Amino acid sequence: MQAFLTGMGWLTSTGPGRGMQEFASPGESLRAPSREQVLESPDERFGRMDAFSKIGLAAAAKSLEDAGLAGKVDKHPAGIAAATRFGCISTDVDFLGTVFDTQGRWPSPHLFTYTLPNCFLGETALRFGLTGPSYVLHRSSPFSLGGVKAALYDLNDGEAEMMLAGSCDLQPPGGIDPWLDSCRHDAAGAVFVVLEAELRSQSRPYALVRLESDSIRLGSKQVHTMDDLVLQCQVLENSLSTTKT
Amino acid sequence: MNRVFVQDIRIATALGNLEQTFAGLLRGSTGIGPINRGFSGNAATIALLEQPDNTSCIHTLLELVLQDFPGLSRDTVPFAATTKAGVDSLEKVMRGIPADIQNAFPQWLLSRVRRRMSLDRAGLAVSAACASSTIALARAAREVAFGRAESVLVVCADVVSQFVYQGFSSLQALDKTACRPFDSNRSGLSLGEGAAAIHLVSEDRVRENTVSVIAEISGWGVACDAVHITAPARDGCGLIAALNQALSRGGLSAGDVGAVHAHGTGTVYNDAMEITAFKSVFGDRARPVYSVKGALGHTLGAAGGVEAALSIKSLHAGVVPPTVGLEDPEDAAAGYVSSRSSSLDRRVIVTTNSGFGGINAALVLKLPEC
Repeated sequence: MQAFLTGMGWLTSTGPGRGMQEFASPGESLRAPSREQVLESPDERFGRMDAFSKIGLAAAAKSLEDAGLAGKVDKHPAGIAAATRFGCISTDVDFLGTVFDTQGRWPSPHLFTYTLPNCFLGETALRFGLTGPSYVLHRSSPFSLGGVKAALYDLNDGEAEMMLAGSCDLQPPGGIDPWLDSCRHDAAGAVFVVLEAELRSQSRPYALVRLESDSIRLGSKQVHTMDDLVLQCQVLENSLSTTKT
Repeated sequence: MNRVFVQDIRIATALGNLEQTFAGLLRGSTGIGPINRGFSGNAATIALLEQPDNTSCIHTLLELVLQDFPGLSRDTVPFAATTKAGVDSLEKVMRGIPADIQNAFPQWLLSRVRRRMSLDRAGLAVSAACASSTIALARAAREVAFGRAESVLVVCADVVSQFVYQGFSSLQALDKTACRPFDSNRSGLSLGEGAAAIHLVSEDRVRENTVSVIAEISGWGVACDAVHITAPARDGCGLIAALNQALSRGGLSAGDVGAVHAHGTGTVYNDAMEITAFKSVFGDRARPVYSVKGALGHTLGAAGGVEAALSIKSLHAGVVPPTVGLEDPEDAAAGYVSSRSSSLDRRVIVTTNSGFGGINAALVLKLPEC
């Protein structure tokens, strides 16, 4: 089972990036991006999104831009598979705060809208015309390759021609639970890649990604996390450039 | 592709287990009533879940569908589907009541199912709003169809919590009394809680173990509207695509379908979108279209699993239940929906769900001998 990886995008502690730009491995300190960092055109909904959605959309948009699909609004059968550990728990806590603070009289409808972890998939889909399957997979570790594995199955099974796959995680909120507190130092960020079953005429892949015995491989090398996948693709691309020169 | 069979099903709803729920639906009963859970309102709740201790209601809900589930082979792949899992644990923690916050994460639901059923394989915890369990079932069916698994268990569950109730209330999406799917006076949804456990097996496993099966999942489709986050596409584009995929994979034409088990939430825009999509795919030949949410409420991430299980009961009974709450069908739905049960002239049912994020999913279910 395999697919061409044609785009990479991320949002980590140093901000958004794509392709061969310097990739800073996910760190603790993560800030939601501005609209200008993510989307070229004014977007009235962007400012209203929760941080989880902004971060996920940023990485997804950067990977599509890297694959030459920025601004593409014609609908096409591409799907999205995202892995997450804590999902939108921060938004859940903020929403419940509005319930408890107002004795249930004025809970925030705006916050409630973003208390589903798949909302940013919808935000991405409508901006880039992605009409394939979209779903979130909940994992017990950050930067899981679960989305990439699922996307490879989707491509193999003919569910989509192209898949956006990756992971998205915010630091969990502090001060409400000891277990969540203990996870606050884990790395946070979002990383997405574009996977295609067959290459478009204009696209040039970074690598052929294979799923073998439940492991993701680039060539003979096994990768373990989303950040590892991006870094290994950059190493491959750099070695090819060096060979050519 | 391998054929995908359903071997066992269990559900828990406000009307009881599978037999009780189906019988209640045929009688036109409703499980929607006052909530007795520390906040006021109406919903289809399960009395057994009302427990004032520090565990999440989802523990009891899971037991209702797993306690008498037949033992499974250890190679069975578990799938869990939910929107908010045990989010009532998060409510308790934020109120200062000791509770295990990990219950609020869908991966907890998956690990609980794995442990409870002694399964070795890792499985997947899937979340896709109100289409979560439909997508999990489609995904699980693919594992069998493409030979990656011989046996799969899909467990889906969602509870009525203050979180969810007040969230939908803040969106002004709730009917003040009980929802009326496809009714001209419908004014919103009613929440419900429920769970389903559905065991899928391959034809080889059926042959090896000489077990009987109760249905076949012959097609599935998943598509996104790519139009709006919370509102459905007016033209039903995503649902139409999902339905066409499901029929195509099942090798069926629209004329082969005996009934459509609709999402039918009772909200103005969802129901109108669905009727538009059904007419586009199935044409003008009137066939039963029905929703169980006027009786069971909207069980969110569990809706697809609960509704698939009830569709299988309908396939065996040769009858689909009435749409409880329906009094005066909206013009576009007249001739399709009914407040009475309807006979099935073809033993194939398509069941559909749609959710936030513009996601739509459809399954084709039929009797195994068809």
